[in-house]
Amino acid sequence: MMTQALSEGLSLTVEEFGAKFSLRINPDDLDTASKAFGLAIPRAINDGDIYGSRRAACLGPDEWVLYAEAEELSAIQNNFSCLSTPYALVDVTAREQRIFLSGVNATAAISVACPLDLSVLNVGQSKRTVFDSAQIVLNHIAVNQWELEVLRSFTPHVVGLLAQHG
Amino acid sequence: MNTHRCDTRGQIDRSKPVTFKFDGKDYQGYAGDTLASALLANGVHLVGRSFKYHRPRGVVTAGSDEPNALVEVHEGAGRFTPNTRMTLQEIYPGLTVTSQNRWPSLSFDGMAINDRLYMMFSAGFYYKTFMWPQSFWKKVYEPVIRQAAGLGKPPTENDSDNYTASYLHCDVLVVGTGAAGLAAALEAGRSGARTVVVDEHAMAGGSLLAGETTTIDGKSTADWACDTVAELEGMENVSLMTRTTAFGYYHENFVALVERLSDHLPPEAKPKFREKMWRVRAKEVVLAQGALERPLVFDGNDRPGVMLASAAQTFLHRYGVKVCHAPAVATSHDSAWRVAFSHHDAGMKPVAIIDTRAEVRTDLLDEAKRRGIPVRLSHTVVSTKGRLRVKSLHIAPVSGGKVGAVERLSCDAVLMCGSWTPSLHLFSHTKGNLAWSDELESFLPGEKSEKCHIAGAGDGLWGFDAVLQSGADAGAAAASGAGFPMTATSYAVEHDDAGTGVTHRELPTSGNPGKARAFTDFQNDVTAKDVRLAVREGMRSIEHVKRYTTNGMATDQGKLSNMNGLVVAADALAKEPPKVGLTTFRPPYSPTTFGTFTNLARDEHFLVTRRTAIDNWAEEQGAVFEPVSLWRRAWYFPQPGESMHDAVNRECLAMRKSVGIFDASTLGKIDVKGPDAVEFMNRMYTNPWAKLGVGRCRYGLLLGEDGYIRDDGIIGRLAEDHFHVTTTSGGAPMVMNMMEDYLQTEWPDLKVWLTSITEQYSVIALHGPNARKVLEPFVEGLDISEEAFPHMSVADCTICGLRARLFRVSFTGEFGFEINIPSSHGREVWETLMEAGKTYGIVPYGTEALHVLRADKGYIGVGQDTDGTVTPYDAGLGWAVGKKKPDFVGMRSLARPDLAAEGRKQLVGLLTKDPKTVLEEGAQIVDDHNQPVPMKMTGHVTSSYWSPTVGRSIAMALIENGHARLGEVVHIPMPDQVIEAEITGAVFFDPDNTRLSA
Repeated sequence: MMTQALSEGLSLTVEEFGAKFSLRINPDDLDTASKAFGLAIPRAINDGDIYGSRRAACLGPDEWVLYAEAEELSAIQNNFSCLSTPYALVDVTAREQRIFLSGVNATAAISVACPLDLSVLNVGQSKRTVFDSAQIVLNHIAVNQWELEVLRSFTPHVVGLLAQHG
Repeated sequence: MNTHRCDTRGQIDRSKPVTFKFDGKDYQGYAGDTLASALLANGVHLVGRSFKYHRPRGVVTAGSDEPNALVEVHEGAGRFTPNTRMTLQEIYPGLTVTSQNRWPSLSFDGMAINDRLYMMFSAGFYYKTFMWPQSFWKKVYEPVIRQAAGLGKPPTENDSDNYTASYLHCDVLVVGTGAAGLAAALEAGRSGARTVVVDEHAMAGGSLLAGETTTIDGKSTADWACDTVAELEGMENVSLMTRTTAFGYYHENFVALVERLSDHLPPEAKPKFREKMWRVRAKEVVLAQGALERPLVFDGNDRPGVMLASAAQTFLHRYGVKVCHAPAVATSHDSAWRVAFSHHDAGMKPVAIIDTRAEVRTDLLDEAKRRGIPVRLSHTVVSTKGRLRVKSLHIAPVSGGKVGAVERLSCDAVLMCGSWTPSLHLFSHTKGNLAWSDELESFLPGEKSEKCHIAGAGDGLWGFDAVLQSGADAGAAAASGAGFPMTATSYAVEHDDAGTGVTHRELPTSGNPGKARAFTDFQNDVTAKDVRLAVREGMRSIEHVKRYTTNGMATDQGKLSNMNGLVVAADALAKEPPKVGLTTFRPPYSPTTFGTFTNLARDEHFLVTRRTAIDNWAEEQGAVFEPVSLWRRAWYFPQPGESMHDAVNRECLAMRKSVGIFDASTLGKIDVKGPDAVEFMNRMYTNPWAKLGVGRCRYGLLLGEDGYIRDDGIIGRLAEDHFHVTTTSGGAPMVMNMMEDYLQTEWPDLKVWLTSITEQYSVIALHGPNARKVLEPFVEGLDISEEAFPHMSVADCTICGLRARLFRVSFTGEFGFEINIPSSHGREVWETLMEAGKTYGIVPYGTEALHVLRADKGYIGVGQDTDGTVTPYDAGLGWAVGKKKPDFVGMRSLARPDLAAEGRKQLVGLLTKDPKTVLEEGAQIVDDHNQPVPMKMTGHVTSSYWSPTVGRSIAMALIENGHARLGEVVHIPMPDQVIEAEITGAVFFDPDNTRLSA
């Protein structure tokens, strides 16, 4: 979608998700969910795992986010519908937008308005936090590459602040 | 040749001359100079006029404690800064500054008449003099006083600079880069800890840069500082930030810094941001802020040319500036003797060292003798003379409390030292206790409340040896505390001079003490006499003395004045200083720009504005927006030439007549799923949910524990174990939090999960008799006929090829739908429906029309018609309370006698006698407007509109016992008239709901 080079060492892209679910389930039943999703869903908060086009991140003691390609959405819902244990799998594909930040200044740009010590978030990890007054989920994708999942209505504010900082 | 420069000293760049302008005149300095050092190098001492008396003032310090040398900096449009401290402002080519608080000029100031009238302007003179007449306050006294007294003028244009901010996490934060700070930083840096080191000056080193004879590990102090800075800069884990002030110390080792990025650079070289606020969270903090030299308090101690001895030392060693040629050195501490020797050795001729003490170390006396500097022990300073610059110093011997004959010393400067005050500002911010030291006659850091270490002169230590060791110890302790074990390094310090001294109240004088102009606070023009007067007039605590005299209340935060004011007050009260108290220091440590505090939160980013996916379409159509909680929503869509009234009328009528389209995306939406979903809904909402069929909707009412209405919304049942809850736009986060709170703390046994889906969907409300005709062609997989999909239905389906959730609901009383589609496609579907609706004259309407349309039907707006004290019964919503349910949030409170009582304020309709009169929302209602004032108010108007549907004004109101008073007439007194209105039911249109079906 739209990519802006904000400054030397920092570029920003806003994209939509393919398919994204919020998964709530009793951690004791997580293995059945892993089977339905097709990858071992991580158990430790902030941890993430990727297998093929699917990714899962653990945000809370019984809360996960699952990511996949758009065309996989129905299949994933169908797989879960066979579960005999209670769960909530909610399609939140359009709820957030993803803001990619990359470059040597990407980490510093997030620190402009995110009070988190970013050095504690390893590559592959995810964390729910805030950017200024917007709730975000922060994904550390690779060295100098971050993704901010921002509730859509907050995107102009977050992008505007990042652009203003440059 | 410039006789004010010392060619062998100073860390300025002599290869880079810099021309700048002060009060319209060009001066030359060098790169590395501050305004203060550069002007002093030009022999300029007179730089300002005082706050109240307009007395001539000169540079007193070489740092951020400067009370006098304040100027206005002009850097073009939107770049004007008053009250800039010349001791911190570095010069650059073209820098233009002017002096403040003088008219017409610095050397001749008409307002100096105040100085002659000083007996009038004693402490508390405002309170005593300008009592009456009251009418003079606003128009005469205040403007005149504000004009005559004060500092720089406030800027009149918007600040055109940019400011930024950042969070910063580190293991060890070191504040200050003097001997203690650098030693601490070395330990932390070498330990591998993430270390941040800050100093407010342009160059790190502090007093190391002004040392002379002392050596550290065989190097001069300046060389040691230079090497240490180089070592620190070479460490990847260390960030050394100069021009950076730590201005506030908050809970949990949260320290605020301001980094000045551009004030020292010419316009063409200025970076994007002027200043940056760093919000630092440090595991351990080392405070190495040093100590502030205290002025001596004597008549004329404010004359230009009278300055702190350490300041002269700094100007000499750091900037290569001789502030004088023949200084008199007046002191009560050994440190100023070194200053006298330095000045002698640099080619100046100190006229005398005047020490208040009877006995001084023999080595100092010997060194003075060797240099031929006359010495006067047991002497007091009586006064100074000289109009715009000190010309002579009058001293006298003191013996047995008696002041002897006055001796006049010609001099061109007085370098004074009244001992030293540890700088405890940041420590004080942490609410750590201060402990009085009898030995040092000063406060020292006491019990700590944060993980911080105080090192060096800030801890009352003196001499490089002790200070370095203290710094190293603090640094090692901080590093160890942060998880990087470290043992402190030792330093070999030679030729050190750990001096001692005493402190004084105002010095004894042979003159009339009542006429002495002996200043304790230079910036606020407070004298020792003022402090004594305050005590005589009943002030006992230093907090009261401070406010009565304004001692210590200027922008320098009492850095020089607090302790002198305290010892004078203590003397007047015949108490020990700690018994009189010390005022609390509060952030910021030194004046900080509003820009720094605001940083990126300006203009459209001052507050977050949430926008729907359809927001930009509305903007393109010229919609007027209104804020609704954090959202902005389209308020109405004016056509060319239309007033708001015209637009709203048109929008309402078009919707009722054919079809209207409304962006309802801001509605809160919560997905409730799990085997216990019904039980959870039963407990949260007043309504019963068990019998609600799958695919059906119900109006839900949410109370607080107090039984009052908190929120409402339509709730659809998607499956036996699955609900789609909607909330009000403003209440969405509150409802989500409240539900999660109950679920996690009260009912963790319930198997149900909540997921916010507010932003997953754009919600397009399509209402009006032709709504189905517009929508039908785009719906797949669902029969939306009246029979198959009646009012209060919900179903998942496909709309415009997208996964959608369709509700057949209405907040307007008109037939229609709420279409939920993934918000990534919100605008696209909106535009599709707009295009398809053209045939039917589709009209987009805003929130104002919505309010009118819902009021036609008497539908309440939570937060508008309710105010946190309205029960379901008050609002006429008793039907929504499940009578057979065992419990729900607020149920118990509804049974309380005062909530169940008859005659509470109840929501009713109001129709004005004159149908054209639209009541004011919030207007108070009385039964009898002829009763005496104050009248008994029986209610107030909650909603009021012109309804084009009904063809008259309509209103809703909360009125005592309203439900039993239908048909009665009440009165609404307004400033220009009394309006008569009849209490009615709240439904003004289609009471039988015939229009909900089509």
